[in-house]
Amino acid sequence: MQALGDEQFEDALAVAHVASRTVLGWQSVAGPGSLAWQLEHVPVHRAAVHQASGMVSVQAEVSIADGLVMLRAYAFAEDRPISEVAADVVKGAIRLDGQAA
Amino acid sequence: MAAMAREDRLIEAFVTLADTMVDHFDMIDFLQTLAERCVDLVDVTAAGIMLADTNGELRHAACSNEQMRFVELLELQLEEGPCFDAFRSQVPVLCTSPEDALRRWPNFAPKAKEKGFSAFSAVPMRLRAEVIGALNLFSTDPIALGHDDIQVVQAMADIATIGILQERSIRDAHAFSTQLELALESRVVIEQAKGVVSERTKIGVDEAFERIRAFARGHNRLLSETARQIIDGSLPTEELTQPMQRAAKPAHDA
Repeated sequence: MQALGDEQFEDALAVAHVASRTVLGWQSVAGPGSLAWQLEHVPVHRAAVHQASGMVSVQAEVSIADGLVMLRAYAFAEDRPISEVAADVVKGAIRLDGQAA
Repeated sequence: MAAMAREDRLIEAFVTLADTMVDHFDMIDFLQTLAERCVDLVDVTAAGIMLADTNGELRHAACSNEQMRFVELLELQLEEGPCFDAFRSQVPVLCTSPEDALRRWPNFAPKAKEKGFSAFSAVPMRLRAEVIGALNLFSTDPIALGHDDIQVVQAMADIATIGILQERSIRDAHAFSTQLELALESRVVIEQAKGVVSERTKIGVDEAFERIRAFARGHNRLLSETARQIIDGSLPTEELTQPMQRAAKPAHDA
């Protein structure tokens, strides 16, 4: 493992700063005693999320990685958990074909 | 069932599970075989295996039946459930009744019941101090397994774990966690491939998996490799949908 250069270290600090602001922002609107839904066990390992990424990649003719990004973007825009959106995609209730809705 | 028949099947299962030294070793496929053999040998609806990732979190690795309702049952156990308990406590978890389940797992049990499951047990996948995951058995009937059933399942899990760890020792030692990660990684690729096939051929994800696996087995290829080829486009989806010629069984059965 190599030590970070000065510039890399600055970048890392900046990223950490953005990440902590984001997390605090999410949590600031969560109800008392509960965790913001974005912070609840991040279901990236849900089978449905990966299946949906595969489906979206075909629908929008993009890579699987971009399929996942589209899924995330959609969930974010709709303010819904990604696992729910993924389940809808797998059911065929939502299609993400890359066209603006 | 006749005692002898079970013994025969047990021996056959052990031989299969000890066979990790083949050229084409695919951990996900191997774990799926383990799960299927458990269902053959004890009276349960399905068996599922979760492996710990490098963060020590359990992730779905294989299931005797890939239908989503079974997979979801495993996914419910990220923080609570029989698999989780067996992994943490390193001893078998035997749940004796639906009430017992509810008492032990107040979050998991009602959700599992919604999906139609009422009896659960789990055994750790361990070799001495090393625990790599857990094997979970679930039934739709509220019948608890006996201790002899648990022993059989624990023995199979032990053999499988030794096999997996042995596989590691022929590579370099630190590669092991990498190898488990790779297995979990192929799990992800398999799910993605299910999605691709499902969307391209307008079939459900469960059926998509059956086709992917039938193709891999019929052509003596690794499940993970087949999934990868579906995703990178080197294996056209049409090939999967062609009716499978019943090819000769894979050579290592001989």
